[in-house]
Amino acid sequence: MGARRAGAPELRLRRVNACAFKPAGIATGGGEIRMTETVDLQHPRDWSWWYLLLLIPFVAVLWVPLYNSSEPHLDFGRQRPPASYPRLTTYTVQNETGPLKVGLPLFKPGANYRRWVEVWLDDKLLRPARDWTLSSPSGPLDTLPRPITDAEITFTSPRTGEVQIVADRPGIPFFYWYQLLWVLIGAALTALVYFMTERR
Amino acid sequence: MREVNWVALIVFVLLFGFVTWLGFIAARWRRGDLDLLHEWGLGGRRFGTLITWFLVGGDLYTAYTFVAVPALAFGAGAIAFFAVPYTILVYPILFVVFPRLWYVSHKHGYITLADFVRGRFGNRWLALAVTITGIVATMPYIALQLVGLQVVIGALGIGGKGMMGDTPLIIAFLILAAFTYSSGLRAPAAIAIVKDTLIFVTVFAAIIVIPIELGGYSQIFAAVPTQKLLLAVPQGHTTGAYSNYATLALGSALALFLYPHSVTAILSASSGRAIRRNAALLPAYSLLLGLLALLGFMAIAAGVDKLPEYAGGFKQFKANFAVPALMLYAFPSWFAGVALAAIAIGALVPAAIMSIAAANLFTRNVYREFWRPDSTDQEESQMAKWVSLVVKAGALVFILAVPQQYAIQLQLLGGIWIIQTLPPVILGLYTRWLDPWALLIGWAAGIGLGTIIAVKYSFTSIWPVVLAGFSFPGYTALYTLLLNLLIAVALTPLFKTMKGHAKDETVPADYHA
Repeated sequence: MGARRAGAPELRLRRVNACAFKPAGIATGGGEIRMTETVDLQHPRDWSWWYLLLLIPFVAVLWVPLYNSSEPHLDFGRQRPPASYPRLTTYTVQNETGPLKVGLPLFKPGANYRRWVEVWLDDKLLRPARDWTLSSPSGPLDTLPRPITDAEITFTSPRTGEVQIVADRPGIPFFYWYQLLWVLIGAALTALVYFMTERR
Repeated sequence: MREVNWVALIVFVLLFGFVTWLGFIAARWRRGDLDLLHEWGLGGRRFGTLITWFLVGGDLYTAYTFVAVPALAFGAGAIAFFAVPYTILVYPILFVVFPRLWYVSHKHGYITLADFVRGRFGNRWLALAVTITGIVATMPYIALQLVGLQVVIGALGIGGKGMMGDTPLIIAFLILAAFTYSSGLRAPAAIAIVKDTLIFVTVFAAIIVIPIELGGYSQIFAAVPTQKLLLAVPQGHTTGAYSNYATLALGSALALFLYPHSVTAILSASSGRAIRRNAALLPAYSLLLGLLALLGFMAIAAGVDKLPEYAGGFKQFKANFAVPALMLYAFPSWFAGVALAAIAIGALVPAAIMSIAAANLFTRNVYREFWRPDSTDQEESQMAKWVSLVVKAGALVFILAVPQQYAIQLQLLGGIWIIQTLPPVILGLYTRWLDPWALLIGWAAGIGLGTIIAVKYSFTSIWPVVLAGFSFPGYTALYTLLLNLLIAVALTPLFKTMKGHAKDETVPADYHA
């Protein structure tokens, strides 16, 4: 860049001379192309292929069907639900393994129940599959018609305390965290383009 | 009305007093001759990257934004989040387009967009159209800042009806008018540092403290009615809420930097490089805005609209009271005072810049262009100071005398109007091919159709365009801009055959460093 800058005046003069041979009629007044104009090659057109990166956020956030969805939701700052929570079933157990009825309809497809329900024992969130399992007396979870209304949990070892079963807690829906994430990605892309195109 | 919250009020008054003092002493900051318009109205074009970040952030993210976006989330749900993609899209546009404006403005001493259009197209009537559009679109925007201020004053318990109820707003207006007159753009630039700091502190406190109080984010989203949580999926032959959302975001992004106050803030930067850097740094405010929108859902989860102590506020200000009520509900009084002061100061900064921008436009592109072409620099600057007072007084009278709904409707119209200046400004930065008279006719068609559509559809921002039996509801501003562009492009060859071009005083090299 430095070498180019040093040679710039000579190049500039040559371009002006070259243009002077063009027919005068091309230099229509007011048009962007002026053949009698000095073209400053020290600072050529402010175009760079890097600018195409700035189009990515446009596609990502203007194609709304891509992200108008609750899932995958983001679990952030999950706490034990209050007693007033609308989709909550509570039990008190004494050295038991269950089964305990979920008591709430489950809508999600498939058989991976890890994100369908939360099970809290007092203030502790129990781990699905390791601390408890979900099943239905009507058959395998993945083949049952939705909603599943008779699901029940079984502890893998006897438990004592207050059990709370929460179904379909939404977390932060995809719609929201996706767009917030794109604020950061958009800023990072702009910064990248800035560093790659900044004249030194 | 609510009882006065004395602790919050004292904190509020102390912070407001501090920024008032700051506004007056700002005249001595980076001292310049305030009898020159570019010193008074653009701060001498000396603000570096950091001050520009505070100034543009303070300018674009207004008190009304802080009140209205969460209020929309509170009332209408997911659609309010269009503000996030809108601000995601606006910064790439700022990055690519507006450094060119800065360079050409710096080289030719342009202070307004109309100055640029005048120089580029050599047509004073096209420049006048840009001027009038800018001023008319800005006036209701200033009025809405005062609405934001009114809501905050009401939350402190010192609002109410009648002359006594209006007194706090009038005092705030007098303070704003006085420091803008004496310090010009330096005042909002200095105050923006305080405002933005307070807003960041408030929002980060809110997104940590309130979810803890309400049982976490899951709990908050669980409280939002299902139909508000996501956009309605289009059914049948329509793009429905999807095209509403996308066009609102894109149209708003295209329009934002056509507003005179946005341009004033970016032209006050010390270099095009400062603008490019800010395009990467300003999204910090977009994140803030997204989190602010979530406050509307927090207000739903907290059920503040059902609490008797806030019933009066909701009755008077409707959903706009959601955020102030949430602050009073969730925070101790002293911090509620800080939060409410942040919003109120958030009204002063943009209102000051908007009035300066409108004054610059009138002085440069009406007074000097049509009335007193031989006026001195001192006369020009003095006229701008007087006009800034008149603009603010007009906004105050509007808010006190006219139902608030009209200000909101006019601001909506302002968005439709201001985007019609895109062809001569943004396209004008890249090409001189378009004919100024064709641009003027396109502008008039866009303004006319946009106004008719807005009135016909009861001042909603959406126009359900139907093509071949398929409905594409979308932002009226964007659709009318397409018509504007179509007319400008179609008529340009016609005008070119009829007459020669007016002089373009810029050259391609003016648009670069």
